[in-house]
Amino acid sequence: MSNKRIKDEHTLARHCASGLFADPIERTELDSKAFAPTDSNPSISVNWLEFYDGDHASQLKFVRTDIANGRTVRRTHKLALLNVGEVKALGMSSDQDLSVAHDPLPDNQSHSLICGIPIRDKILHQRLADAASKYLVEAVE
Amino acid sequence: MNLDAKAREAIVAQRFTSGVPLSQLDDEESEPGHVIVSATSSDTTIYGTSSTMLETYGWMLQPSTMTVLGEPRHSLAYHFTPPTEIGSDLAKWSGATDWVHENLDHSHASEPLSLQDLQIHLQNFLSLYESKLEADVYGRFSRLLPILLDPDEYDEEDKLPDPTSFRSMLDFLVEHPYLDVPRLNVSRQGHFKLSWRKSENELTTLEYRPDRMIDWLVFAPPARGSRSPQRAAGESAVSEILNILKVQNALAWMRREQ
Repeated sequence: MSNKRIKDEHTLARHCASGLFADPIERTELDSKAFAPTDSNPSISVNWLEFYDGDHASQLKFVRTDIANGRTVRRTHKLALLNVGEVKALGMSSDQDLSVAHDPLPDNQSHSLICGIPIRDKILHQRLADAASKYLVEAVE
Repeated sequence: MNLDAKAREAIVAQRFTSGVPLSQLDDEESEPGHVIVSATSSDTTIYGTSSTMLETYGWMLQPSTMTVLGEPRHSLAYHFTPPTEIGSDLAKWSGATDWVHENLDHSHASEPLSLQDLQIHLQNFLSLYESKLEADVYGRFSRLLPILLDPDEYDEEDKLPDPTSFRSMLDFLVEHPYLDVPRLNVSRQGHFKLSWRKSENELTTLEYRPDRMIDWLVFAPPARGSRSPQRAAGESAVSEILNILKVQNALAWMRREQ
């Protein structure tokens, strides 16, 4: 278990299947549902890059492995990268105190959660999706 | 099935074959949305009035409201293809007797629809709109549906796509053909959602709820004298949404280029 803490300058990766894109064919822009929680899933699953040591590329490599351990990842999928501080700032702009918590799973040690996004705040969902759409990388190396 | 129902069904079947449209039958016989089954030893035909044909077909996608001969027959929801004939006033489905009877006799009311069932039915339903939708919209949706409803991709935590939402969305696009080709998605609640985006601060999303309401979201550029983009969200009746879009200055850029 790592003693590291998630800091504002750290990076989160959100695994995005085709259905999470505004256009599932073009896959260049996320749909707001990528950051829309539900009653049964009140938090948004992400992966914390800095959980792993090394440079950005190697962190991304470990995170890709973590994600692939827990679900099916296709070549059409992407990872949307988000800065923790930006997530919180977007929350503040909607008067929401968002937090990011490390939530390691047995086969997915960097798994984390964005907590506090209101189910009905569609503007915030869209703004988070827009922010994450700026940094899309391949989900499969 | 009681004798009255059988008699009525025979009358309707006879009038259908003799060319009398169902809309000319009296109210009792042409109950809106009513589906009538006519079965013989060799084949089975199902009739529905065309004024409610789409409604009827929509019902087939919703077992909870499916009505056949006045009784819910949920199992029918699983097995119907698009009408074999669509007249100006009538829709007609035909099939082998055994095939339909089997489904009538073995209701699977407790079985939920699967995503695969819905995918097939929604694609069939979309095909009914081919001549009504703009060709580019129809083409795009035809390509997108299999991706959006791919059982291997669909998040199992999400609610299944809602056919009533789908129909409401398609009807909206038929009524407003001047709108540019939208993007298509399904919300976590299973509601179909259209979106248009021109720039970072010009975005409109319309999410069609099964109760004929729309959850809308509009991003607009900063107002004069302001540096902050305008962002608004709300809900509105389908009939009111254009007024909302006009007020939000979104409708102008959502139109097709001339």
